[in-house]
Amino acid sequence: MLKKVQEVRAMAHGLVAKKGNKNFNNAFDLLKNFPFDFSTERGMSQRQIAFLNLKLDGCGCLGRIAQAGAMVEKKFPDAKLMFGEVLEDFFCNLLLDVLKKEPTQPDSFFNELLMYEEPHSILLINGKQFEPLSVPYQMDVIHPKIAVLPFWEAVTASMMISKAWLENNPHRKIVILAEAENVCPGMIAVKENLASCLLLLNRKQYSIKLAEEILVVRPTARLMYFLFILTEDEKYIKMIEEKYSSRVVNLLKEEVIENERRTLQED
Amino acid sequence: MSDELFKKIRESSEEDAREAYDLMRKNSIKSMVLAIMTRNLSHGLGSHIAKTPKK
Repeated sequence: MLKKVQEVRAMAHGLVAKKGNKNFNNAFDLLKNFPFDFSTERGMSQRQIAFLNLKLDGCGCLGRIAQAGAMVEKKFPDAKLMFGEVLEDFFCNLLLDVLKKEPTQPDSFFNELLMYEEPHSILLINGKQFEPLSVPYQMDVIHPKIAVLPFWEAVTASMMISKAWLENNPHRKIVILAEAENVCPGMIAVKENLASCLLLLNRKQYSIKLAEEILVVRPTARLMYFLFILTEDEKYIKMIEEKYSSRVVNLLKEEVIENERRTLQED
Repeated sequence: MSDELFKKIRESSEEDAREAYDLMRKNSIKSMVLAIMTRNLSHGLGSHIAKTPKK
């Protein structure tokens, strides 16, 4: 069963019901002192993250912002809450700057860079960004480019992405993602997932068209490599090499090969 | 798909590896794009960013 927007909101409120007994003057001070859990997310598989997201577990980025949103609504009911879908990531840009100065980096550096390009979200409180990662980073982080979406609708659609991820039936995957698009129209993470799932139904040209549209708004190495696999056009490889490094091409290629090998073993 | 094909992709000469990879792409394009592009909202903080001077 897919959860409805009000059910998701109630779920998040339930998770913070016993938290935040201290009073603060504003929502930002409240969230900077909120007991977020940053300890376990790194190195998790997509499957593990999907389960975290469906529980709105505070160990994951979705759970963190959902719980933070519920806390703000509880303590500052007049605050205007919106969902910020990150289109250009502050941390990714920082590592790209490092790469320009020091092009030789270990694989762990490039893997971390790819992590900062994963779908990600923040809160907007009265129009101002709050990135929960600001807390461990010990600096207010402002992402250069975000899309502003209705908060609980976007949280619900994000949970649907995870639900679709765990679904094996291709038709069912598409139905769930179509519902996510319906709940929160325009969310790029939904479109990214839809672009690959459409291929399961042999809609290759539509898949390419959608991916090329996304590339304009959120150009990531993953999307470029995805387009390369679909089109066999080397221009996408050149785009990755120019923006990142040929190491990133190799890492993505290795990820695909390893996934295929694992699938073969499981079969 | 066979173990032999993966071995060829990883261990043979550049030309043979490319040929084997193209064969994999031809046979498994659906699972390859799913692996690369179906992603959940997820984003932590890594160790390299911690070493980078703050702006």
